[in-house]
Amino acid sequence: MEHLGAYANMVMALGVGLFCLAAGMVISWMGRPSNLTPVKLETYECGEPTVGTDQVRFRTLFYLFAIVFVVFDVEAIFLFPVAVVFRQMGWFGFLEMLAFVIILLLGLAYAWRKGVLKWQ
Amino acid sequence: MMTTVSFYLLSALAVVSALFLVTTRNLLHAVLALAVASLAVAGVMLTLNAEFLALVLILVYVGAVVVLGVFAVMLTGHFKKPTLPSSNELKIIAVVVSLALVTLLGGVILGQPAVTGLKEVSLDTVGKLLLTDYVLPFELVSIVLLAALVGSIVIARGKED
Repeated sequence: MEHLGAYANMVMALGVGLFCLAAGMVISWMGRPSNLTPVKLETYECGEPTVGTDQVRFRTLFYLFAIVFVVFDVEAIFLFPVAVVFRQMGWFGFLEMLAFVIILLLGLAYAWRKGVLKWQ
Repeated sequence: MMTTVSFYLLSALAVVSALFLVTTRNLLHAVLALAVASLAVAGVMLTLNAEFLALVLILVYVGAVVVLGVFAVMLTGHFKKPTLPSSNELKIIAVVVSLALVTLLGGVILGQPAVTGLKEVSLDTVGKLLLTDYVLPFELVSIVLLAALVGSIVIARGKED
């Protein structure tokens, strides 16, 4: 269980971060006058007048990118434990990893050839 | 002690967010609740010494599946109608099926002897096993992923070319 201490540190850092965020908001809320006009309630978008709502439909093209991303995300999962022992395993481990990556590169090459990565 | 407390807190968070997921009428909120539920389950895995599984849950579920879900919801435009019907026309069948599933899973889980003193499996061990004992499945995984990638591209692109 002793290794969980690292995660306790992480949770503590998260807590301190959230506290600083909340403290900043509370202090500014206490110090500022509250005079809400319609102009002040508008969404701030770098000074530009906003157009439409925040709920817009995405282009279908995004979905293909997302699918390719999922596959390479799963690949990353398998590369993590291998990367940890990479140096201990020598050339044999290197060749195995190389084969793994090259097979997946074929997939990337296929996606590229099919024009999936192109923004039309 | 701390581990037990965090186990129950995270489990409660997982259950609450899962309940919110199935009861909310806003599809986008449901997807975001899925992210919270997955994070909570990853935390539960951490308290059970399954570090690698927690990593997988965060990277694949929170990182990829939820992103895919958000894309799917925002592509369909369903999120513009925040009042999806939350009633079920097949209530009786749903109750029967879910009760049967709970009984089945519960029976299997409760029938197992209690596991005590779970050993921590480090990334080191997983990596060594992947490169020695399980090298063939490891390489097969990349072929499966390749097939999944090519298949999804073929299906998603349709007959446009």
